[in-house]
Amino acid sequence: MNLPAIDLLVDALLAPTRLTQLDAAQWDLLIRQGRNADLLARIASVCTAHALLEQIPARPRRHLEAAAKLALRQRREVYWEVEQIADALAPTGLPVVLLKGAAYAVAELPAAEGRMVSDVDILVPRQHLVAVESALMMKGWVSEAKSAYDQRYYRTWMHELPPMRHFRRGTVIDVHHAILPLSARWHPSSEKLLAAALPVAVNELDELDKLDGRIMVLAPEDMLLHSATHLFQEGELAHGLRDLVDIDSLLRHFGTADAFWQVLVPRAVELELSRPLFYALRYANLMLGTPLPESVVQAAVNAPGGRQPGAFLAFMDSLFLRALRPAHATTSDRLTALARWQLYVRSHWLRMPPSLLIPHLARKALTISR
Amino acid sequence: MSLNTSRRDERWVCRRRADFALRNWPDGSVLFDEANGQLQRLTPAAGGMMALFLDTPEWTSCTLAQRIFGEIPAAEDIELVANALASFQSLSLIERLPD
Amino acid sequence: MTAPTLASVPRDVLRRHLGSEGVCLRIPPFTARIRSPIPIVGEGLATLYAEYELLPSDGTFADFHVAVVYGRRFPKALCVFEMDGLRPFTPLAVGEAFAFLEWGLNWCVTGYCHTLISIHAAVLERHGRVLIMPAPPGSGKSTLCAALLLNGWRLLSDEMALLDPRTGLILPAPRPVSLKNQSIEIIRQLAPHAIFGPLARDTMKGTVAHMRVPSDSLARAAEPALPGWLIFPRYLPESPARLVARAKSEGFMQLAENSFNQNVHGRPGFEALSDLVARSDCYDFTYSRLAEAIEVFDRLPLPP
Repeated sequence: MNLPAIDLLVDALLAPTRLTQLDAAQWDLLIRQGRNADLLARIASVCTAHALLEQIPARPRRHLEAAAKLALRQRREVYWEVEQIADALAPTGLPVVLLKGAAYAVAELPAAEGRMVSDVDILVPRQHLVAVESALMMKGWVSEAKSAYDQRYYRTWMHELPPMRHFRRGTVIDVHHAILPLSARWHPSSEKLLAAALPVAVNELDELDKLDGRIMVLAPEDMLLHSATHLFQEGELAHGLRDLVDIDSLLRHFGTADAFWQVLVPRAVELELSRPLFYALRYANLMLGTPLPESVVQAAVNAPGGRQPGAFLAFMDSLFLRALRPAHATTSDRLTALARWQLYVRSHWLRMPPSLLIPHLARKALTISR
Repeated sequence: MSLNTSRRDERWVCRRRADFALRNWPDGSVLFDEANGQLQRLTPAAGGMMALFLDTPEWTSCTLAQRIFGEIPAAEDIELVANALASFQSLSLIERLPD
Repeated sequence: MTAPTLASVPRDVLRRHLGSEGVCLRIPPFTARIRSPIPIVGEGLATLYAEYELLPSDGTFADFHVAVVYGRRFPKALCVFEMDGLRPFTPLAVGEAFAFLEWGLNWCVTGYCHTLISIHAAVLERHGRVLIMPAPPGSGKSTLCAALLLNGWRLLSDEMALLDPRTGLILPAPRPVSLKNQSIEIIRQLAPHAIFGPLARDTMKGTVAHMRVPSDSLARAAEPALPGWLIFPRYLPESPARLVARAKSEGFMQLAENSFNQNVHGRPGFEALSDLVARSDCYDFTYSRLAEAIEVFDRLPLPP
C-alpha cells in the first residue's frame, strides 16, 4: 500500500526534536494537517514538554500557542462543568462517572495534555436514566433532539440520551447508559464498568470539599477499552488519528504498571470487547509505534475476534490505515473517502440489525443535503 | 425595621478567591471568574464588598457592615449588606457557612 | 530592495495562478495563500491588494490556505469559501465571491488566532494612540472609519481590533474597508480618488463594496500602537454630533461582548482588556453628518 506521508504529523507527536529542522514549506504542511486532525494543541504540549516551543519559528509557533490556549481554557472550564453536573446529580445519590476527554482531564492523565474537550460524557445505570435526565433538566440542561424522530431514535436504539445543552452556559452533556448502542451485536456490561469505576481526587475541585468522592472515572483497562470501542466499533472516524493518539497515550501511561497488561485482555474478553482491543493495539502500534508486550499481542490475537484470516486483515488494514489519517487533501488518496464510508457502514452493521440500517442512513443523508 | 440576630451573624466565605479577578473604576467594577469564564459588572458598593472578600475570605453581615459603614452600623446598613450577600451567593461568588 | 507586490503581476498571470496553485500574499500580520477560479476574485485582489507583498509560491509558510470556488451543485451560480478543505459557510452568489473572501479571511483570524484577543471594531490611529470603535452592524461604524482614514487617521482595521495581551498594543491588520449601500456613494463623494473593488449586489448585507487601504496605512502595518480611545458610535438621523463620557465598567462589558475570543484567554485576557479600558477615554458618540463627526474626532483630547 502506497499512502501519502503523514510522517510529519506522527514525527511531531513522537519525536518532536526533529521539528527544529523543518523548513517553511514543511511547517506549512504540518500546521494544516495538525489543525485538520485537531492535534495542534497536542503538538504544542509535546513541544512544551521537550522545551522546544521557543525554538520553533514564530509564524507556525503562534498557531501551536493559539491551539494550546484554547485547549487549556476548555480544560479549565470542564472542571467547572463537572462540578455543576455533580451538583445537579446530588439528589439522585449517583456518582458522576466521566468518560473520554472529561475523564482524562479530571484524572490528570497525559492523554489530557493538549486535548480539546468541549462536551462532557457520563455513564449512568440504565434504570436511573430518567432520574438523571430530570435532575439535569431541573438545573437547566435541555434536550437537543427536537424532532420526535430523533427522540425515538435515541431512546429506542442508542446507548445515550440525546445530547443536553445547558440553557445559559451553552455547554453540552452526553448521558450514556452503555458504551455501545442497545442494538449493537455486543453488549458490554455497564454494571461491570460502573462497579469497577474509581473515585478521583480532583485538586481543582476538592478545595470545595463537597464532592466527596462522587467524581469517578473508569478503571484503567476499562478506560482503554472504551476508547478502543468508541473508535473501532462506533465509526467515529472524523478525528480518528486524534482518538488513536488517546489510545497510544493511555497505553503508554497505564502500561508502566505490569498489572494493567495482565488484566487488559481478560477484561476485554469478559466485556465482549476483544475485537476493538485487537484493532486498537494493532493500529496504535502500526501508526504510532506504541510499545506492546509480545504476550499481550498474542493474547489479543487468541481472544475471540482477534484471529482473522490474513486476507481479511489486509483488507481491514487498507481501510483503517487510510481512514485513521486526518481528513486532509495532503494526507488522503483517492480511496480515503471510500474507506471512511465503508467503515461508517461497517459500524452501523455492528451496532444495528440490518433492517434498521437503511432508514437511519437515508435520513442522515436527507438531513445533510437539506 | 427589626433585624433578627441570626441574620446579622450569618457567616459567609469566599472559597474561590483564587478564581476571581476584580477591576474597580469609580463608576463600577468588573469581576472575572476564571473557573467558568463569566464576567459580572458590579456597582461600586458591590465591587468594594467583593474586594473585601478577596482580601479576607470570611465575614458576617455585621463585621462587613462595620468595615463598610464604620464602627457602629445601623440595623438598616446590616440589612443592606445581608441582602447584597444573598445576591452574591446566587451568583456563586460566596457561600454561607453552617451556623 | 523592495519586495514585489501583487501589482507586479500582470492580470492574466494572476488569474492563472489563482486558478491553480494560488498566490501567497502578506496580509499583515498574516500570510494567506489564496486560490480562486472566479474572475471577480482576481479582479478584486488586483484592484484592492495591488500594494500588498507577494511571496514566493514555493517554500512560504501560510497561516491560512483559503479559496473561493464554484459550488459543485449549481455550477457557476453559487460559490463557496474554503479554508483548507473546510467549508464553514453556506454558499453565496458568485457575484459576492470577492466579499466572501474578505469575510472568510475575517473568520480565519477570529476563529484561530488565539494568541491575540480579537474584537469586532473599527480601529484607527492618530498621534500614536489608537481609537477603537466596537459596534454592531448598522451603527455606521465603517462609514465613520472610512471618513476618518480619509482625514488624517491611520487605518489599523475596519473590522477587528487585534490586542496583543502581552504588550497591551493593538496590531494593525489593514485590509480593504467594507462599505454598504448608501455609504458607498457618500464616501465616493467625500473622496473622488478613492479606489473601490467589485460591487456585490443583493448580499445579505445589501450592496457591498470595498475601498482600498491608503498606502501610508499599509506601509506602517508593522507599527502597533497603544489604545487611547474607546468610542461606541451610533448613527442617529438628524442628530448633531455628540460625544458623551461613558462609564468604564460599562465600556468594559461592551468591549468584552464584542470580543470574539476573550473567553479563550482567561485571566490574562481579562487583565489585558481591563488595562485597555483603563488607559482609554470612553465615550458614546451619536452623529448624522460625517463632516461634523470628523470635526469632533479632530478635537479629541489626547488621553493620558
